[in-house]
Amino acid sequence: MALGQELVEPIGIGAMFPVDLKPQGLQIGPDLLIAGPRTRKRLGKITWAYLFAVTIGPKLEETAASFFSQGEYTKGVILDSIGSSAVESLAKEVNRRVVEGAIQVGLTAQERISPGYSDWPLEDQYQLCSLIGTTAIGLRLSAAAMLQPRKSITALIGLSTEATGDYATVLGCSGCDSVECQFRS
Amino acid sequence: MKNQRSIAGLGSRLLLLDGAMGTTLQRQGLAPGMLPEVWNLDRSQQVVAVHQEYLEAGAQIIETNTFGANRLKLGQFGLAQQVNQINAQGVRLARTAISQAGRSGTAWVAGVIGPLGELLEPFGPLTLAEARACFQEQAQALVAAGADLLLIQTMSDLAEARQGVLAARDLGVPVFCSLTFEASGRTLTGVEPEAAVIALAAAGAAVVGINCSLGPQEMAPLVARMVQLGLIPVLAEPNAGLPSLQNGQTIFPQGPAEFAAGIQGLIKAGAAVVGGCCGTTAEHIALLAQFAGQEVPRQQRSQGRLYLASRTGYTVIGAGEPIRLIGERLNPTGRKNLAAAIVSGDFREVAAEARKQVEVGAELLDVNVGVPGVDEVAALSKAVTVVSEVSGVPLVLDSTNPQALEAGAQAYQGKALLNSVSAQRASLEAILPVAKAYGAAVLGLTLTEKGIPERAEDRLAAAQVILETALEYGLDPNDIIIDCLTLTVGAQPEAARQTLKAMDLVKKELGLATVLGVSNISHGLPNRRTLNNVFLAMAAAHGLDAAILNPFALETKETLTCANLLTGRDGGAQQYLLTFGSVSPKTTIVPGSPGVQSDKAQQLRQIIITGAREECVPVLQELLSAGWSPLTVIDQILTPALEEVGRKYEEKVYFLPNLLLAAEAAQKAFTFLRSHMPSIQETFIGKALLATVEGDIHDIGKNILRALLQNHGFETIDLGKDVPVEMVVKSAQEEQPDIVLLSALMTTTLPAMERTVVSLKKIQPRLPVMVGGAVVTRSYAEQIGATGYAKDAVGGVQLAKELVARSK
Repeated sequence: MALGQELVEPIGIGAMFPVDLKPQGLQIGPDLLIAGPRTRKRLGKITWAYLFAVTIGPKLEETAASFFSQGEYTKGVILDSIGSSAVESLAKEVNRRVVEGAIQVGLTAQERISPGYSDWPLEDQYQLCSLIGTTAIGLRLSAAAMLQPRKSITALIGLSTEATGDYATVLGCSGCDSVECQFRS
Repeated sequence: MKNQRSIAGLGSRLLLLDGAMGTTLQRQGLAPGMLPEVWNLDRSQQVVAVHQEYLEAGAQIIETNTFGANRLKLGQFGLAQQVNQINAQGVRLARTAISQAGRSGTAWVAGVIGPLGELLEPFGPLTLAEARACFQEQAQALVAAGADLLLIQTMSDLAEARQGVLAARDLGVPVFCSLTFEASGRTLTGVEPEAAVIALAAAGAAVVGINCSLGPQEMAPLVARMVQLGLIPVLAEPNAGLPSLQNGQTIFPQGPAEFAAGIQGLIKAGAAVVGGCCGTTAEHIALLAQFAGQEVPRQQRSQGRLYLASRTGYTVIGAGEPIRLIGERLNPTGRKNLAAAIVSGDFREVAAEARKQVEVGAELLDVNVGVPGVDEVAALSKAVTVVSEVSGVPLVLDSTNPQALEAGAQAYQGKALLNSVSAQRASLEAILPVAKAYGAAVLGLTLTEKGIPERAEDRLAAAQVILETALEYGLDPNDIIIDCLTLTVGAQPEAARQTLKAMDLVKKELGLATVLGVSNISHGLPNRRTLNNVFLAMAAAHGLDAAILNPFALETKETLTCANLLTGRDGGAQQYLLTFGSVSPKTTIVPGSPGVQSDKAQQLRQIIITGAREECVPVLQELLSAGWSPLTVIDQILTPALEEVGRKYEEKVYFLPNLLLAAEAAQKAFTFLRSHMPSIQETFIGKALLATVEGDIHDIGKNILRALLQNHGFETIDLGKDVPVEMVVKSAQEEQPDIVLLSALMTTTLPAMERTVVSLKKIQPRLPVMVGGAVVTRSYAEQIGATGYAKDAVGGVQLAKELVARSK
């Protein structure tokens, strides 16, 4: 745990964007268009989108990999899990602060969603990352739209003056076609 | 303990709690991530309204909206200074609802206390004292504001629950404590239902039970296990069925009718207090009102049945249970190395000794750190902590120093047995209050101010003094076990007969369980082992319930097994047949070389299974120098040990960390053997090519698989992650592997997996290609033409072996 804490270098970046509700989808900034019907239904008539990226940096995963190559599998796996959990809490904390901040200015904030959920294509990472300028925190994308460092999260939080969005439109497991997936809950 | 307030009917008539608070407030607009407790101050009318709904539905005990109102959790929201205010207000709102409903006197307020939100040592940063102080602050605020009882709920760690009960029990109201169990039947930290009841009842809880996580159907068998102990009333507050988490939305499937039917099952299982947890509403509770006031049958605990618990597990002594083996080896007397380690403060030796004793069958461990000159108070407390971390069996704290016993009892997070108290006034006055304060049982020595009485009748009288004084101190009579003391027969020919007669008397007259340290009988005589074993067998015939023994002495354990069978303590001869009925594993794995070598082989096997990799190399060296070939070591020891590990994983006895620890130990063994025998290369069963497919950078699963494949005799070539299709194909042609294994985590990279499989099949149609990874399914594997699919690394190794064997 202590080692994990030393290796975690949390950093994040985020910004608020107005949302343009166009017939073909939700337009955010010049290049990001959310067109998937499920994602649109889930978000509803949001007026603002808070886009953010968080990462714990490359150190932890490099150390985990080196543990693995030295035959220290347990340490490697535990460190990797610590990393996953650290970045999740980081995103959760951002979400919490946005929810709290929203209340103060009279807005309702939703729970975060990310590219790759349901019908929001992973490739939209490119537009999302360039909108908020993730290179400033050392976050890059691979040719297959994978975040590097791996222990990173990008996400969108929808905001509006009144509650909107259809929470019954689940983007998680039950909204997924992979019915035999072993992680399906 | 002074429980001035009491809840009418508790334990004899079914009491009805209310339903969910948090999820109800969320439906009324409480934002996810916000503290429900803040509404006590900001939107108190809505909290009162929830209480009122439950009172109208028929609830007899309503739970305050204070689940997270402790210093640590409130502190995260900058509200640490408002612990008192928020808790007091929580109680006032519940009271208001009761008086508005005209239910004063027929409804009670339960002051709710939830987990602190931080883990206790050794899992987390919180010390026992800090946890207790936090609980105390909240409990005092709730009771001062007028709570009729305290309800500590949703606990996972027995240590945390126990600190909660200890902090709350002396405030003049009954303490209810419930834990939350997984579908596996244990809590997140591994606590068994019985262990929870035993340790928490001993700590002073009036009611113990289960809430949250499970639906009524899953909860019923666990409640039944708690009830059958016959200790205290059991509470059950299930969720409205098993929740499914669907992207931020938690769905609870059971409506009121189905839930009520489930609750009937819980009542049948013996629950004395029922209610609802997450996902339940006033409609759910209204349908339960029909059951309130029903008579609750009480389970009687048989006399002389002593329960002990560790932080996770438990042991029952006496009343016809098999004679329990208490391992005696954690004792520095006559053991120079152990004594030196204790003096130097290095407790690794203590931990290793504890682990080894449990491995060979000790059911409890006696812990004694009495080295002359050592600070026994600090040493016993440290030893208790260290031993609890490596073994799940209950502990017997052994010291002549009352302060050391107190420190040990304080550090122990279960229900310990204090060894010992005697019938001497000073001993009784020093030890019994400690047992009461920390919820421990006592081992009573039949020793008086005049020494050990010669006659059995006088030893009985000493036992009686211990029992009666213990009752005066408020101990449960079943929490006393008597040692009638073994004297050496070489010095006093009557010694054995008087001891055995005293045991008969203690059983017959006082109904208490008995224990003996056996080996003293043979002091100064030849042929000690046989003499000890015969005495043990005789004691068994006189009702012995537990024996303090060396668990490494094989004949002694065999004597115990036989004695259990002959005295009717081994129903269906199960233990006997398990011990003697079949060829034991160690005789099958050793190639005709008994003695020291077979011990070493067995030791190596255990090292791999338990993952003690640091101990690996010296044992291997001894085996090699004794003439074992590396091949024989692999075939006869390492491979069967790894198969055993795989079996344990499949049976869910082992989890990923155990698997990995074993893999590390095996890896160390293989590396050692290879470096000593280069020709071992010939023993590879096949060459495996691994890759995470193009576009995917998640490789931890593939890395685990690689480690296991190596352990099982594969030569592996790992191409890494994000490997282009062409690269896999090229390597397959150059390296000529016997099998290719591909993994992918993301759905978006599945097409790359398909392209890789298709390209490989085009060029080498007969080469087996296996696929796996989080999102890969069997039908997808078939669809893209893969030869095989496995859902995890253990399955992957098995299938890879089969596929390679078939293709050769």
